[in-house]
Amino acid sequence: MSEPTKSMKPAGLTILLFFAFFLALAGAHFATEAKAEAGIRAGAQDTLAAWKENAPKLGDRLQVKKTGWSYAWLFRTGKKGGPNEGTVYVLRITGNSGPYTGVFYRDKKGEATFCGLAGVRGRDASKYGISSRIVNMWIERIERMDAPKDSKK
Amino acid sequence: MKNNTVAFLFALCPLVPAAVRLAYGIVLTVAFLWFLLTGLGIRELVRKLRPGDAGPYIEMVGIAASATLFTLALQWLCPILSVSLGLYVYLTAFSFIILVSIDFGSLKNGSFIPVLPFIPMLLAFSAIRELLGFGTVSLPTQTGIFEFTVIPGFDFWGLGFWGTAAGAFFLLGVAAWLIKFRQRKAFSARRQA
Repeated sequence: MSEPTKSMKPAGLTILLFFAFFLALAGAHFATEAKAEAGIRAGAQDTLAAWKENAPKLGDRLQVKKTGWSYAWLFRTGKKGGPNEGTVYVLRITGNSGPYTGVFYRDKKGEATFCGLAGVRGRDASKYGISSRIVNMWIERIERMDAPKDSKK
Repeated sequence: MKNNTVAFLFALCPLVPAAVRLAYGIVLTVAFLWFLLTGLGIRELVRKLRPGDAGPYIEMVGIAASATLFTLALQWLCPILSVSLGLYVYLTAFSFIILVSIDFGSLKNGSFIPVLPFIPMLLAFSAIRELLGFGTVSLPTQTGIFEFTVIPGFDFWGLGFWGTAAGAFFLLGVAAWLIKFRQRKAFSARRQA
């Protein structure tokens, strides 16, 4: 085997290895996405049901461009023009005592409300170190965002 | 780096905000073991590929891919926890890299000296913080976390401070002092013998 061919072999194998990483990640993403979405949807719906009677029902998943990883789980609620039209935000919120999954609802006027924490016992977020200052900070962030328009599906 | 105690605490620092619940500690521990397993596999692959100077970079990409794979598995198993802990899985990978870099040789010859004691330390740290900060012990479930009340009436007279990041650094200070005290005692006992 000539010298250049010899040195090409590890480079080719490295490219193959990177391609294997890519395939493994893409495969895992497609295999897990549906169940992950169903689980997050169920957790958010439970939090909304505990928040108020006749809570809005979650619809299609949405995405807002250029907002980053934090806003990966957004859901449309209600029919367009209907009383429950809005968006539910499922976000990681870090308080004084660690990160939790917070659920927010933004109505069609653009006003956001904190609905509670998903996956924990009880409705008192302050017990988990989520103070009103932290909640207000997230509410302001959500209200500043453009209304999500693009449906993922 | 020879001072393992300092390196241990340094590796634990990125995880301080998340290591507040035993449930979170368990998830991060599993992530740590996963990185150990995949890290060894990737290192073996790189050794066989012999890519020269690119070797460490390929290993880093491998660890990043393995962290993403773990995040996807967490989304599948515990979807709600994956929202709160997604970022910390990547920070656990960072802690793993810090620990491995303490003693490169130990991982190479399979003794894993700095990595394995970190696992019970992470579990104990999160369990003590949860007990002192919330009076509960929790486990990860598919719908979030399941809490067992260990100290009843904690909401009325408990001190939530130990569950905060500030409390965690106090606890880390006490832990560092205890480890140092034990090491000095063992050293003086050896000298006297």
